[in-house]
This record gives sequence, C-alpha cells and structure tokens, in this order.
Amino acid sequence: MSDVVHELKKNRTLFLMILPAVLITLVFSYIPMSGLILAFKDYRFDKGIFGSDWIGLDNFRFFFISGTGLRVTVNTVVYNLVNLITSQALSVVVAIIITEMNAKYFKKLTQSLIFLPYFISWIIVGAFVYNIFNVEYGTLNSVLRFFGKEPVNLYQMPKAWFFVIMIFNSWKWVGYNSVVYISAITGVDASCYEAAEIDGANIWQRIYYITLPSIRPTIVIMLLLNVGRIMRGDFQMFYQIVGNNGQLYNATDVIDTFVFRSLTTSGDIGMTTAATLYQSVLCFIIITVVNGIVKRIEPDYALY
Amino acid sequence: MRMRKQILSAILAGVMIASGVLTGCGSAKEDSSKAAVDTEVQQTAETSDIDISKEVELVMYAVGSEPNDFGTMMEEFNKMLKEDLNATLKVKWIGWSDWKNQYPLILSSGENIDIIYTATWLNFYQQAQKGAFLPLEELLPVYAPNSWAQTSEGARYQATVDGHIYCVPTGKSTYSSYGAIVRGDLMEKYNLEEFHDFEGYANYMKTIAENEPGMQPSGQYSAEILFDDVYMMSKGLYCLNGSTGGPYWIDPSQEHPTVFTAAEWDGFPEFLDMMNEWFQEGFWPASALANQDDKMLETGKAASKIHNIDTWATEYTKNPDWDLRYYDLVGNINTLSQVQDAIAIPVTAKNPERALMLLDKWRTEQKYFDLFTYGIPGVHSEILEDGSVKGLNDDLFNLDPCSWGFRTDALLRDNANLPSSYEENMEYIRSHVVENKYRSFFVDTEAVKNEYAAVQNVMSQYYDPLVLGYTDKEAGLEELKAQLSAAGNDKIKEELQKQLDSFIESYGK
Amino acid sequence: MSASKVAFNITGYAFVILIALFCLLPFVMLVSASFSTEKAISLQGFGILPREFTTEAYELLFKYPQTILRAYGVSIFITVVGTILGLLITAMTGFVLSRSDFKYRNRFSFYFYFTTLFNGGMVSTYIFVIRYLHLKENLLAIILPLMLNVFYLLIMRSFIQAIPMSLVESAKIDGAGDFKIFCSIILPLSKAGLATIGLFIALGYWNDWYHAMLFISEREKWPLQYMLYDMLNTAQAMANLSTQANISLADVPSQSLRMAMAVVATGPALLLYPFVQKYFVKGVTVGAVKG
Repeated sequence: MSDVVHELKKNRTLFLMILPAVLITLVFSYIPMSGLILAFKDYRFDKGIFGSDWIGLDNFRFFFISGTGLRVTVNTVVYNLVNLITSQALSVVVAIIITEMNAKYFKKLTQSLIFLPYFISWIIVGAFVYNIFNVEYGTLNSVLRFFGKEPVNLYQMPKAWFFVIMIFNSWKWVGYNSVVYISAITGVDASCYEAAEIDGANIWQRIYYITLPSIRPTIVIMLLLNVGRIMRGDFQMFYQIVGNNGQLYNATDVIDTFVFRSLTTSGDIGMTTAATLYQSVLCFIIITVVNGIVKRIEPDYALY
Repeated sequence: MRMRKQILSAILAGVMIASGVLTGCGSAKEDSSKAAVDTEVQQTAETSDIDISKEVELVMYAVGSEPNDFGTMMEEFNKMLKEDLNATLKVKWIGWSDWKNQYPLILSSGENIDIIYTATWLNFYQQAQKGAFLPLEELLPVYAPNSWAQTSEGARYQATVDGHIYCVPTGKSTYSSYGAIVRGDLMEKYNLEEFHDFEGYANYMKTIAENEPGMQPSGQYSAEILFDDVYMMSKGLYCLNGSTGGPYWIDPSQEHPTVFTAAEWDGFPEFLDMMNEWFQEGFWPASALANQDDKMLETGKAASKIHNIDTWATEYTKNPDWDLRYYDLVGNINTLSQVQDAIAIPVTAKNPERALMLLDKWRTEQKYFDLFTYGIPGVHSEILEDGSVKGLNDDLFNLDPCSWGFRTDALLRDNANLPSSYEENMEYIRSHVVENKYRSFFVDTEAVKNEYAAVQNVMSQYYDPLVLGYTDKEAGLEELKAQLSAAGNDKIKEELQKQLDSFIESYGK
Repeated sequence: MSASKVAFNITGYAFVILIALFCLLPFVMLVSASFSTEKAISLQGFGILPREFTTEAYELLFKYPQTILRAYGVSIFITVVGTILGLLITAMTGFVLSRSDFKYRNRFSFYFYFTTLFNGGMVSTYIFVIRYLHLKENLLAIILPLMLNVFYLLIMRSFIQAIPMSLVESAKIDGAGDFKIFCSIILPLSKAGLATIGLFIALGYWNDWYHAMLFISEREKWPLQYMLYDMLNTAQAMANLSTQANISLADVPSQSLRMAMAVVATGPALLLYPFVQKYFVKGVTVGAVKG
C-alpha cells in the first residue's frame, strides 16, 4: 500500500494527467459493462436488468445447436486473420512507396485517393457489388464475355468469396492504415538514410535495414490491436457484400451475421448479449496469449 | 358502402356532439359484428365523473418518419386536447432504419411513455409476456368505454396474453390478400386476360420473357420471396406467424391440424417443380438475391411484382398510363389479426388514464382523428364531398403518418388519389373472405427460442435459394430437411402442436 | 539516380497508381450515380459516367435546405469540439502511458484495453446514459463516449515512445514539471502523430451515427451521417418489413437520392486529409538532442 502512496507522490502530475481518461472510461465503458449479466438472465421489461431472473447458460444454447456456431467461429477467425495480414502488409508496402516518392503533388494526390474508400459506406458498396458480379450485365461477366469466355455465376461459388471479401477489406482500409505507417516513417531520422546512402546502400537495402526496423513497433501494435478484435467480424461488410445469398453462408458467415439472422424476429436481448459475451471472452483469451508472447520477446511492444 | 357509413356516422356524430353526448357507434365490421353496447347513459355519467383537473403532458411513441410539418399540426391538436382533456401530447418517433434495436430499447429504459404503437410484427406478444405493457382490462371500461365497446370478443381474445389484455387492437379490417401487380398496358398489347391463379400469372410472365427482352418478368429481388407464401396460402394453408415468411404452417381445413414446415408439406415438390420451370424460363435472374433495387417496377425494369393492394395503389399513381393492375392470387383471404396494428400502454406510463381517454377520442371523434391523421384542412389535406380525403402537400405532411394503431373503419377516410379500380379490387377481396379462427392463435416460442433461432438461420440459408430454383430441387430439399432436423425442428413442432391443441380446446367458438 | 532506384520507382509508382485507381473508381461511380436518374440506374446499373445526367437528387435534398444545413452544423460542432478535447486527452494519456518511469503504466494500459474486449451492450449503455446521466437529446452523449478511443490511445503511445526518453530526463533535471514537459517538448515533437490521431478522431466523430441513433431522436439535432444512415437503412428495412407490417412500400428514397446524400455527407471530410498531410514531413521530429 505504501508503494502506491509513494508512487502517487512521486508522479503526482502524471496521475492527474491520466485522470480524465480514467473517468471517461469508467463512466462510459465500465459501468455499462454490468449489462453483460443479461447474457445469463431472462430479461423482463418490468423487472429491469438487475431484477430479472438468472437462467444460467440457457441464452447460449442457440449458438451451438446444429454445430453452426463452431463453423461461424472458425470463419470469423480465419477471415479476420487473413484480412489483417493482407491489409496491413499492403498498407506497409504502400506507405513505404509513397514516402519514397519525390514528386510532391503526386504524393499528396495518391495519398488522398487511396483514402477515399474509407468514406464509402458498406451499404453503398453492397449495391456496387451487385453491379459487378451479377450474371446478366455485371462488369465481371461483361469482361469475360468480351474475351469470349462463359459468364460465371459467382453467387454459386462460395469459395471465391473468400478472395472477394479479402480484396474488399484491403481496398477499404489500405488508405486508413497507411496513414499510420506513413506517419511513423516520416518520424525516422533523415540522417540515418543519408549515412546509409553515403555508405553505398541501394534503396532495397535502405528499406530493409532502416525503414522496416524503425516502424517495427508500429507494425506490432497494429497487428496486436487487430488480433484483439479477431472474434468480431465487420458486420456491415459481410452483411452487405454477401447479402441474402444463402448459398454463400457456409463459406462467408461470421458470428455477427449469424447472430443477426438468428435473432431477426425474436429480438431476444439476453441471447444477443450472450453472443457478444462469447465473442468477448474468446477475444480476451486470444489476446492474453498473444500479448504474453510479445511481452516475452520485446516488452516495449506489448499492449500491456 | 363506405360512403354511406361515413355520412351516417357524420350525422350521428353531429347530433351527439350537438347534444353534448359522446357515444361511439359500434363500427360494423363484416366479420365480427358486436351488438352495439347500449350503455350510453352509464358511460356518459362515468366519463364526466373523471377528474381532469390536473394538467398532464402525454408522451407517445410512433413508428415511422415524422412529416416535416408535423409540429404545426400538433400545435392545433394540442389546443383541442387541452380544452377537452386538460392535456398536451408530445409525439416521439422510432424510425424505420433501426426500429428493431430502438423499439425494445425505449421500452427498457424506464423513460416515461404513455402510449405506444404496437403490432404483431413488432413482437407485441413477446414483449407483453416480458412485462412491457400495462394490463388494460380494468382501465378500458372506465377510461375508454367506447373503444372497449368497439373491440369485439374475438379481438379481445387476440389482445390477451397470460390472461390479461395488453393492447387495444385496431378497428380497421385488414386482409391477407396478396397478388400480382402487373402492367395493364402490356396485357392489352399481348391480349392477355385477367387471372387470379398461378397459371395465369405464369402465362403473363412467359409472354413478357419472350417478347420484352431487357425486362424482368417477375421483379424478384433481395427482399422477401413471396412466391412460396402466396402459393401455399392459395392452397388454403395458414402460416402460424399470421403473416408471411414464417417457417411453420397448418392446414385449417383439417379437423385437427398438425404443424409442419414447407419442406415437409406434400405439395412442396410440386411447387418446386413449378419454380424450377419458371426459373428456366427466365422469370427471374440468377443473381436476384443480390439485387437490392426495390424500384424495378416503377422504373420499368420489371414487369410485375407480388405484393398487397396498398402497394399496388401507390405504384399505380407513379405511372398512371401503365395502367397497373392488381390480381389477387390468394383466393382464400382472411382478415388479419386485429393486433396487426394496436395501441398499448407501457408499464412506465405516468398517465395511463388520460392516455386511454385520448385513445377513445381518436377512435370516436372525427375531428380528433381527422386532424391527427390528415393534418390541417386546407393546408395539408382537403376533405372532399364524398368524404374521401386528398393530400395537398406530401412533402409537408404525408397522410396517416402514425395513426395506424387506432384507425377504425368508421372514421377512416378513403384516399381520393386511389386508382379507380381500387374499390373493385376491394370488393373482390371482401367477397372472398373466409373465416379462420387460427388468426387468434399466437405462437409462443419462448420455450424453444434457441431451436427457433437455429431454424430461422437454416431457412435463410437453405430455403430461399431452393425456392428460387438455384439449388437442385431434390438434393436441395433433402439438405434442407436434414438441416432443419439438426436445428431442432422436431422439438419446435412438438411444442407448437401442444400450444395449438390447447388453443383448439379452449377457443370454443 | 541508381539503377535500383529507377527499378523501385517504376514498380512502386505503377503499383500505387493501380491501387489509387481502384480506390478512386467506386467513388467516381458514387458521384455519377448521384447525378443519374433513378430510371437509368435501375435499367442500366451503375457506371463511371452519369447515366442520363440530372440534378434532381440534389434538388430534392436541398429542397428544404435548413435540414441539411442544420445537420452540417451539428456534425461540424461535434467534430471540432470532440477532436480538440479528444486529441488533448489522448495525447496526454498517451504520454503518461509511455513513461517508463511510471510504475503502473502497464496496469493502466490494461485498464483501458480491457474496455475494447468487453462491451455491456446497447441496453445497459442506453439505460445508463439516459436514466443516470440524463443525456438524452444532448450532443454530449455523442461527444463524450468517443473522446477516448483506446486504439488511437495505444497508437499515440507508440508514437510518443519513439521520442527519446533522454529528452524528458534532461528536462526533468532542468526542473520542469511533467505537464510542462508534455506541452513544450512532447507536443511539438509529435506533430506527425498528433496529425494522424487528430485525423482519426475527427473522422471518427464525423462518421459516427451509432450514438446519434441511440440518444438523439430530435431531427434538428441529427448529425449528417445519421441522416445518411437513416436514409440508406430505411430503404432496406422497409423492403423487409412491408409484408409483415401490411403497409405499402411507401416512398422510399430512391437509389440516386441515397447516393447524393452519401456525397453530401462525406464532402467536407475529404478535405481533412489533404489539410493534415502537411504535417507528415520527413525527418523534422527527431534530432533535438545531441548524441
């Protein structure tokens, strides 16, 4: 206890500086977290959150009946992992190229352009997706027909959507993520590069030996942050791109879309909370393991 | 027919208002006529006894979107309300974009709500079971005696959950008619005759497919598929959720109906044959389920659409020279549950009594109903000589933004902008109404909610593509059955059958 | 220029140009659709050029300009206030968490990070904010929750960690307090980081519709993005509801109208990024301490 007091005295200003953030988090995140108990309760409007009865794990059952729950969990993890790796890798590559560019206006222009997809809501993208893939006049099939090939009905090919989603995900986030990396790269001391050039290093060597290691902390943080969300699918992305095409569900369903469709008519609050809690617990387990590993290797890069 | 009632009730209302007596004329609905409760003297005595000395502000939640000039109408409305009931009303809105999340949220927040619109599709039954609303059987006879009298025995039964009445059902008859909305001009062009069955509809679509390339014959897109529901309804079957899109059906013509899903229905393979044939003939494209374009009929991309009569009326006005026609395909039409629209009083209401008194006024006094539903006369709408109403400025105030919960056949006015054949179509519907006591049965999925959620998911995944002919009809059907089984279909059917059996026993009538 | 640089330039430029075009294309389609007639979209689909050019969607949107202008006002207010406050708090907290001499920094980091894992759900958040904080219809209900985004906080921390601790130590030796160090040393050296996180926070506020959906029902207080979301979602919701609710598919906003709304709602945010780019200047930040 005296340790805490000592620390408080020593770093009094620091504690004060961190206080506003602590309060906001307490008020807007921790206190409402008590609502998680709804996952174990039979919610009644007249009894409220705390007055309703406990029903144990009953709300979780719908998720695991008929084995779909497991399948969507696997889907969620796989998609998130793949999306995470591809979009981060792409962002790093793009960031490096852009920072190496000399033409100032061109640089600004491309940076702005790649940011555009972030602004387009998935609902609108959904409408465009139909435009691209539909069998009658879709872009994809028009191109195929132009080259004399048979049109394909992509909606009957669930496996193809794995790539579709991966590409769309990268497309949406490449601009946004690259901002972080560009910012990190510009923070690297210019004198290092100059020294390397004098020593005769070519551009690939400069990138490999200077740029990449300098932004390693940033890359690790970005990866870690995304791993911590690995159980949560971007609901809108999956829902809008896949739409109501049931044949694609086995390959593209994630936890969020599955829960959404299952609870579409019942709107049962307890069951929705149960699904969220399930995702949260799994996220927690995964990030604890991964963060622990990172902490062993390089403590400064760990999230906590 | 409606006109006569309007004039009659206008005269009656005029007489009664003139003599300072408020009585409701029992709205004579075709199917559930109730002997007009003749307790005028007692009622007036009671209503004038109620203490309204304390001014209150009533809060109402409506579902929909607020018209731009709603506030102006409310100012007028509140003047009237203050005078009569010493109260003012504030209307809040739950938009269409997120009603599913917002509706239960506001019920659970403890916020004061005095009146709220509710309906079967808004999960009225589940919410009533979970204690969201006040029981009304004691309050109604005292504070809203006319509404109470207007509500038939059957309607009261439908509003009852666990022995208590939790809502006041609508006084407007609505029908389960669905039909094909087709292009009259194209029918003339190809010399097609009117039809009321699937063969006729297929013929129409085939003609379009052969002669009008670039047009989609059926207009099917990513929203609900209605072919299956309408087909099964036309064969006399009844979907237990009271509308469309539900997995469980019964055959009301049987002595003792059993619960089944479409996959288990013996007429289903024949239906699938038809749908497969239709798909081969090109009535809808292979990517229909990905198409979100809901304006295809209106823009001329699609040649038809299956929907209800009100949609037809709206679509007609957009392109009058296409002469859109409505041909009902169901045949055995039922009146929908009275709880299709209703008004409930949440448990958080501070002034339930005054709220009910307001409800009574809406259901019996033309001026209250007119102002709230049609806006300010001369500005927002105009009442024509024949009693029908014409909207003057849709941007400012679109007609009937939130009165669905308390419409009555007596007070509701016809829309003057209806197509001329509207009445004809309504006649057809009314003449085809058959009685269906199972409309009063509601499905309680609480005990099997997990299995039900799983089944919902299976239907969405395996059923829709099967119906549209995207998956092989035999293999697909087998797969569907297997998946349903794994999801707990049998357990649900057992539970629902149990509920159905006890309903049949206790319903009596 | 060396041969390797030339090769790099060619491949690099080509690659990035390709990606930039892919990113530009859908946006162009969006703008084109907003200038097309509904009929043309339905019959011909979306294209790069407007099909049947018309400004009717925009005319409809701005028919009652007060609505859109008010929404702009709300969005701008929320974004400006929120970004200033949020950036300050995020930077400050990030600084504290980056200090290796702060014994509890990891525990606090966990305290913050934990909130990204577990979420109490809509019902409890709603009840708490409405009933106990009495923030219904109050713009603070949108500003406050978004002020501290843990992801941005941790990224900010990472940026600040790149600033050598030696600077802080020497300032401390000179007798400066932590807050003064923060203001006079850390902030000026973190321009790139502040610009990045500031941009993210601003975009987060600009694009948020969720909090408006939950807490604001009065139309006058709707931010722009919620208006857009409402329009887009209403169309979908009504299509799915129309049979159950036994209503007619009333006048749902047309596709071109929705696109126009999307353009209008996005507009100003597009200008933010170029504005912020000038802070991404190479090599200015570090080098204030010898050796």
